[in-house]
Amino acid sequence: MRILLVEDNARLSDAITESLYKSGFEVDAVAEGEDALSAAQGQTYDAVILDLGLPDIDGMTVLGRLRDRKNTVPVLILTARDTLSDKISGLNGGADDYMIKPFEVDELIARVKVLIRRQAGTVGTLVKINNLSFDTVKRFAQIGDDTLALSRRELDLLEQLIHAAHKVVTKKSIEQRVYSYGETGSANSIEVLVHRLRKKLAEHAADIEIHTLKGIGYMLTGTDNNARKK
Amino acid sequence: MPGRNNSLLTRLVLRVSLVMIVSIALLSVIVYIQIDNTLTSMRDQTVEKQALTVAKHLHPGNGLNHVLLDMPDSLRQFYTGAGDDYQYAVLDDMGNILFSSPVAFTDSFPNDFQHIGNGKFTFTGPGGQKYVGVTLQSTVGGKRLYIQVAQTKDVSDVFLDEITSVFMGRLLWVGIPFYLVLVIVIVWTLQSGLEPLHKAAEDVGKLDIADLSLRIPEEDVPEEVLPLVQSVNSSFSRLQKSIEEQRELTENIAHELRTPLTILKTRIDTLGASAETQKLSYDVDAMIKQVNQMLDVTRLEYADTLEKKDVDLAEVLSQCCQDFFPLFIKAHRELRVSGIDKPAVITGNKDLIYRAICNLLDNALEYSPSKTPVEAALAGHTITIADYGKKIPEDRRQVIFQRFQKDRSPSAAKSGAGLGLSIVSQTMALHGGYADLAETDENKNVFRMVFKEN
Repeated sequence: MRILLVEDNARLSDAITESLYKSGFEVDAVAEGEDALSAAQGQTYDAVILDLGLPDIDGMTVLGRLRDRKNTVPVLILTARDTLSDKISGLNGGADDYMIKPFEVDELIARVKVLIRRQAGTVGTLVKINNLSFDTVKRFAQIGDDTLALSRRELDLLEQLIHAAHKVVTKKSIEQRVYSYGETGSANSIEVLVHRLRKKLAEHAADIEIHTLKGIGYMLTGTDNNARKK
Repeated sequence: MPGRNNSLLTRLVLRVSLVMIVSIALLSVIVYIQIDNTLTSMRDQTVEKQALTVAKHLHPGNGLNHVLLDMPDSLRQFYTGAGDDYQYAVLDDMGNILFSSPVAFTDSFPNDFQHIGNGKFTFTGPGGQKYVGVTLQSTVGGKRLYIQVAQTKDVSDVFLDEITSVFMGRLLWVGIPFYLVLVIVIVWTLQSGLEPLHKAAEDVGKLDIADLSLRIPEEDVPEEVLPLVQSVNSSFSRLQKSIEEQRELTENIAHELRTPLTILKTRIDTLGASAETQKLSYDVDAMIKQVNQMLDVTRLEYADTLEKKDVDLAEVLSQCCQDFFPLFIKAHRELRVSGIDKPAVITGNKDLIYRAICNLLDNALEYSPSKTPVEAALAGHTITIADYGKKIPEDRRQVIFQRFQKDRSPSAAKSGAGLGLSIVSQTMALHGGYADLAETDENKNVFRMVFKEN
């Protein structure tokens, strides 16, 4: 998988490239916006990591031009612009994710993987996260070789959580997804649904976890290796 | 209220009044002198006419050198019946009195005819009265005669006084209202003349650090005031520039510091998990937190100039909890959120509120023991972040919101410069609300951000 890294600080660019490389990515690193645009034209990337403060043209402009060319490559903005407003305008400007420097390398890699998976999911392939794989076309989930026996709603929930892995999915959006128009669940039906899904994942020793942000929603992550050791 | 001596209007009014008083006094003196002169010459003419009248009644007698004075009774009565006010004498060229009113007075008439001059003379009568008189030369029947007439000065003075007092009285009755009106007109003129100055002063008052782009409008400013207005404007421009430079500098420093910290953190993360790298990671996180707080403080210091908009507290709290959730997961901690189903809209700065909530969540995560949850809640327009850490004693409730106060528990202080709560408190002050530590019997610390309702 090939990633375009647009970062003008050479040392940071090196460090990120190294981590991505260790995680199995091919990385093309450029320092300027124009270079990024011409690289994106000559080569198809699986994802772009884009800094905003570039020496020639602003990262937001680069993003705008990419989208103008109907280039739908997933873009993750990685920037020191840390206000909520910056983040909102970045996402509204066509970015798929937004991370603020300084960042956790593990989280960056996880989020890039999510973006690539999501992009792949839209064209219908197998999405993998640790030992879990999810077929978005045939609609089934496997842990290793075991196929999980999941209800339609459990599958819907799992798919939604996988697509937004490492990010919180609100209860409201889960409700909208798993209940069709006119249907309403009971007050704690989502809790019950999540509980059942967790149980089935645990029964098959899945390497993923569904965390509860009580009052807001849920977040799916790979199991923390350090935690598992304990 | 400016001091009396510092009021331009008062000073001008005082000066103008002084000029007016002096001019009134001068005018009065001139008028008085003029009246006096006029009356004196009128009196001289009267005396001369009297002498001519007397001369008209002198006729040559029967013998040589004989002269008769044939005054009508009315005239004679005038000289004898009206007291001592009028005197006359007819003398020959030897100085002998031929005819006269009572001699007691005419004795004092001059008889040195060689130096007659214009004929005017003065003398003091036996009663001490001052007299003015005139000597007229006439030839009757070939005989040279000198006719002298005098009258008391008082007579004319009474007249003069009468005229003067009537005139001055009129002058007062007409003059005082006239001058009052004049003073009012002058004060009004000065006031309206000074109006542009007042307006300029008002405009200067409107200038504010909060909106550095404001300037005093320079059109319609009189040319005397214009230099002042221009220099105020230009110094405000310089101030604006320097404040902006200062703000950029601080923000740049913080941003610049974050870049090497980001590189450092990325490199540590690639080292692979070990006890050593975990410690390093911990240290670099602490530094990052301090730099972030520094940025927060800088932004707050200039926050007056940031725009305020409608902010939904439910949305911001929810966003903040979602963004912070990975840190809770990493620490194997639970975050519970409540009260965000309904929007609670206030006017404020979303970014600052977001950062304030982040600081509270960060504190809660840091200062409370593992396995305890952190509770974030919105009720009305109040956000609360509660943790089950060691309860903060009563006497520290206020102090902890001040800068560089961080001893919630001496050993627990992992990072931060003790700015977190002061950032929260300052943010709330900017929004017309306040931050405090709510009183509760439960064994938890409940931090509140109380917003003013719109």
